Amino acid sequence: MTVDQQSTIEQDVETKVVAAVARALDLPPEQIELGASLQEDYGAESLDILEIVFALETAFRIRMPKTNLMQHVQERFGEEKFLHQGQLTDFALRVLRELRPEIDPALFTPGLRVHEVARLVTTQTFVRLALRMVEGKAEALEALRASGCTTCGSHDIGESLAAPEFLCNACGAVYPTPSGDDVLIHDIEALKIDD
Amino acid sequence: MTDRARVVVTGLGLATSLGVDVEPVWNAILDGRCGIGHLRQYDSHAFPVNIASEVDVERIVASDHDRGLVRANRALAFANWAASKAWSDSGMNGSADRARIGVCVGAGGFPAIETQIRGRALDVAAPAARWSVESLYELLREHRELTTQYRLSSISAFLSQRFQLDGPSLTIQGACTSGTQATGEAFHMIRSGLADVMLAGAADSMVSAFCLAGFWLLGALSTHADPETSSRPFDLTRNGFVIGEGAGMVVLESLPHALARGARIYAEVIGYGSSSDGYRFTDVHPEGRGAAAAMRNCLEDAGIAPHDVDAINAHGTATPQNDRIETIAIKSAFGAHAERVAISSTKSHLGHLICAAGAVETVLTCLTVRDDVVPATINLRKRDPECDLDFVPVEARRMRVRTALSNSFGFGGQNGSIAIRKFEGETWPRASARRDIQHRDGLKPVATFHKAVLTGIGVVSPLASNAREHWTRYREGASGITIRDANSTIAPFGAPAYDESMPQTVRNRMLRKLLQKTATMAVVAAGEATRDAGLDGDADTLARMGLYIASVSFDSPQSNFAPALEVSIDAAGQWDPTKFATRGIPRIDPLLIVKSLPNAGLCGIAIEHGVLGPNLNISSGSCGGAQALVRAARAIERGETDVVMAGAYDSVLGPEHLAAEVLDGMTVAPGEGAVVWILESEERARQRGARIYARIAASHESFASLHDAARLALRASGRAPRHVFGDLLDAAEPSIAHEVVGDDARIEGACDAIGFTGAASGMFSATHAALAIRDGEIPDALVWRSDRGVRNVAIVLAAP
Repeated sequence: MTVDQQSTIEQDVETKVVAAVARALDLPPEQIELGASLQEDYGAESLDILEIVFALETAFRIRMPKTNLMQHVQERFGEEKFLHQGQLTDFALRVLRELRPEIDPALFTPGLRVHEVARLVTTQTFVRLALRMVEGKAEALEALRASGCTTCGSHDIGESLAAPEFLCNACGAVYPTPSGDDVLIHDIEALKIDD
Repeated sequence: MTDRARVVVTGLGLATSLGVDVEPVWNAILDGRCGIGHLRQYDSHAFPVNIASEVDVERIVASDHDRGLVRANRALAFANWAASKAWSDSGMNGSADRARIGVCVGAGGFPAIETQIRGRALDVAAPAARWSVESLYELLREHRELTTQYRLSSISAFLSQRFQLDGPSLTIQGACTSGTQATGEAFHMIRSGLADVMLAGAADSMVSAFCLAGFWLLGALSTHADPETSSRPFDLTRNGFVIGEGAGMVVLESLPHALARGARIYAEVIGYGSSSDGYRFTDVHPEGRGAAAAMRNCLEDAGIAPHDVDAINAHGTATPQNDRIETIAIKSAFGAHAERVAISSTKSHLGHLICAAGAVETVLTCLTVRDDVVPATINLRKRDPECDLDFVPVEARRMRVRTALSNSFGFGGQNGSIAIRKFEGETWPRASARRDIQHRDGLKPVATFHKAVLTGIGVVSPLASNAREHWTRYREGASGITIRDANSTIAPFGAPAYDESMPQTVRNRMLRKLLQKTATMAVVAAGEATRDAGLDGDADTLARMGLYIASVSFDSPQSNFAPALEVSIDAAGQWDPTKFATRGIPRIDPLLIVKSLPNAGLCGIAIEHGVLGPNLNISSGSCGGAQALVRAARAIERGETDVVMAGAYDSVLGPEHLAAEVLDGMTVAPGEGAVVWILESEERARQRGARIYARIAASHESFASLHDAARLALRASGRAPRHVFGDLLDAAEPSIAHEVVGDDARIEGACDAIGFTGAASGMFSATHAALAIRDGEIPDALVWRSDRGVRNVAIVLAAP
């Protein structure tokens, strides 16, 4: 992929994410600031977030993570390392700053609690997530083409235009695109954070 | 009526994953056992979550009839089992007066689409038409038993019929608080002298492929893989609830009735409180406002103080949000005493039975006070600093338990709390305890009876979107019936009421996009009623106003999800769970799940208008509206509140509803609409100089006989109205009118003008009667509603 292609994809994702956020919040797209908190600045409810996620899944035919980031990281590193008396440890804050570089690092302040992290999520968070899922999907398609269709062995496999699926053009077999949670877990496992 | 009757529990019944007999289930819970396992109903290997708390249906199947019941509607089968157990446990015999025994049960069970498709080759050639009224009609005609899935009302009707009970028969749908609200309302009905005995409780099964997918999409389910440790209420590592199914039923009885027949008494119900969050649909109020209010209302209703409570069966779902906020709410309601209450969540053993949860937990709470033992919260191994009360981890605790509460908090923000006390004989002076509390608060003692008067009306109908215009056009003889679908072979005509501009009048952004047209009409009508009563902007009054609403069962539950269902059908036309898991689930819009909920209108009204007081969502089919009106009037008459919003909304134009009605012989055009009233105590209305349309003079419900309902309502009113407002849907209506009212009876029905408006029909009739009284056309009127001869409700209205 060329640099130009990459930036076109990024632009496309950003436009569509902003449109989805604007539609969910009933605001004009030009009013959506990429770095503003969805909950704090726009009063987004949990159902708005679900709506945005569903809109992005439909727009890009991807599967977004369904499990909270905080749960994945706690499972990866263990509660003991992650929480102290209900508050996120310094280690946890470093992990989050790494995973959510679009959020002002200063907002990951000592004393932060798990349920407060969702308040920091911005439109840019969704831009990054959607981009990552689009990338993850492309990687998965490449891998599937290389290994071939499990039903007929053909390498002629393409993307469905109707759903988050790959289709074998030879035999019609259907493969789901990778789960967003798997992509997220993979990225969390690749993190290198010093204790 | 002087002292209110005390109410005791004389029969218990359960159907749960830990067993289907009460004492063995109780012992298993005290032993810390968990009933959660891997899903057995279908191949779930491809599903994101495949654990559940399932009932072993083989243990409740004794005949082909039972097996058919399980196949048609699991919730109904569980209700049947648990109610039969509770009924025989109570030892009620044939001499009890059946007219004084009613049914009030919570019911859920989102139509299990896959059970309808499974085993039935579908016409794969025409997927677009598969969800049309005509195809649904064909499906239901072939599988008539499936209509019970579309009609929550069928559960209470089934039980009234089965035990030949002729008192009121209600189905309650308040999401996860249904069981507690149904039991609490039944308790109030006996306490206020309306019945001697009530069969109460709830049944549900949301253990279906579709519901699992839905709750998973909403991010509500536990993703822990080991079934027995997957439900972890109040634990640091909790991450969601485990879905369960089953039923809990109780026989409630007035103390004198129980003593007279020498019944065994398990426990006493002493209080019940409910509330609305009025905050957001799926986010709980951050300070637990509604949850705390329900507990406070319950304590006040019981006439007890926080320090009187020894134990709480918590809602404790094990979602991160619920358990954290419930902790805050308990602290808020109980103050310093919160730390001394033993709190446990039996959802750690049984998972979350959704609508049935509160009923099963009420049964367990009765056993808690009977046996002086508090069940454990199993799987609570890692303490969450945000859940820092005594949650009785891991092991059940022997301790003196005189009084215990059971909490339920529902999706949409409906909350309920019920108080159970050890039965300590017949001399406990509860009435005086209540008076002490009231004096302490500086309130006047409750008078024994208040007249309920109508002070505000809101209407959305096929004739108009406000009450004034509706009434003018109705009296001019206008009709809202038009051609619905000229090509339809079963229902070419219809009377639509909704117009696309309605959501724009709703202030709340989420409601504008979330509510379907039926619930939107309810919110709009509620706004008009509030303004009409001169109460808009009176936030304090609205915040304590009661809210009794009748709704449709589920709003277009299947047609909404057609895209996800289509891709789950294999080449042979059979539903394939693996296809559904991999291809169907990604096509489900999570918001549609919330949109389809039967309590969306009630919660929408609470959120939009800030109506936060005691509430009840009735899903008793087409009698729901009349029942909501009766319940609201009773709440005022017995002094529980002095201002209530009562309403009903429905659309018989939705494909599922329309197909089922046509199958049942509906001969008039399907209609839709919403009606909302403001009812106040006469003192309050006069004090503030409100305009009074009419007053509720009397009401009566009879499950089996419209004649009895009408005759007894007239007798209680002491009036002799000549004018009857019914439906004229039942051929017997004119002759019954002549029998009970007299030869000069005039009867009018509204179906020619607005079609059959389902749950709203009784409230439309009542509104026409009230407006005719206000206009001086008539001094009084008899209003009735009968659902094909069952669940008959009669109301007498009179000039103030």
